[in-house]
Amino acid sequence: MFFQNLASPDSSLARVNLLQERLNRLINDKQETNSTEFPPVNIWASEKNIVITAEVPGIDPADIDLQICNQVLTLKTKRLANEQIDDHAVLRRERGHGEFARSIELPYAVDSENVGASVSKGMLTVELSRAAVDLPKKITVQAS
Amino acid sequence: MTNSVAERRREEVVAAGGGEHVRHRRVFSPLSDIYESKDKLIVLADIPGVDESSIDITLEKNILTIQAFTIPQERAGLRLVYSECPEGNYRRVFMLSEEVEREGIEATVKNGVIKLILPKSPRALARKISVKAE
Repeated sequence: MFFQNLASPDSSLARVNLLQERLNRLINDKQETNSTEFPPVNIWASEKNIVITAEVPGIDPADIDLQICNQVLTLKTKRLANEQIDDHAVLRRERGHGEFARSIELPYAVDSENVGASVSKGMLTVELSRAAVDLPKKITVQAS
Repeated sequence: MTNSVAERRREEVVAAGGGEHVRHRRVFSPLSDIYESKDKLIVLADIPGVDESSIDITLEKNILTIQAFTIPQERAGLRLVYSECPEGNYRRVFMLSEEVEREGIEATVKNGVIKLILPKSPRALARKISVKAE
């Protein structure tokens, strides 16, 4: 993931891939990747807030399970394999189905009591804000 | 974790024959499923983030065109730091082999998925000759 430390992947192949991805991003000046993980996500961030959007077309909002634990957001979901159509032949099947899970490492601790999550038109939006204890605090220096 | 068929990603397409967009927007080909039963064809296409009023479906002769337009999103004070699903419009063209009853086409959208029901025309159904074994 974006916030991952370069040294953290275990295998050297993962490290090479990550480096490649970062170089591509640097050269293209775009934050895009060609990950095939489902659901695909976009991450928007500032010093105080993070907004994560994920494309979840055809998924019932009740089937989305979100968890936050130790600066890691885990998204679990499932999409049914098939339309309920009697006696049909499949001419084309491109849309993925099954159970999916992915974890996103967050750059700072977030206030887990204050998370907004909504689904609209097949787009999941998760809004997170930085935990108050994690915010930088300015300390005034007094002359004695 | 299990993810059975998720390797496919929607692909970016170059608008062909349809002219260029006035605003520069990328165009993606939505992932689709097509099912056929005795009397109808069913097309499902993933178009997350599209409002039902921004979908344009046309059938000209046997060319079915699905277009869907998204609204560019700005998030004040936030920077896009990682992107797997870039924004853009959707466009996909299918050539139908069976004759379709134009009057009976139904299109619905639910949770970002278009469902198109294309009933086969009685003429196409009548042409089928069943062969019986002696």
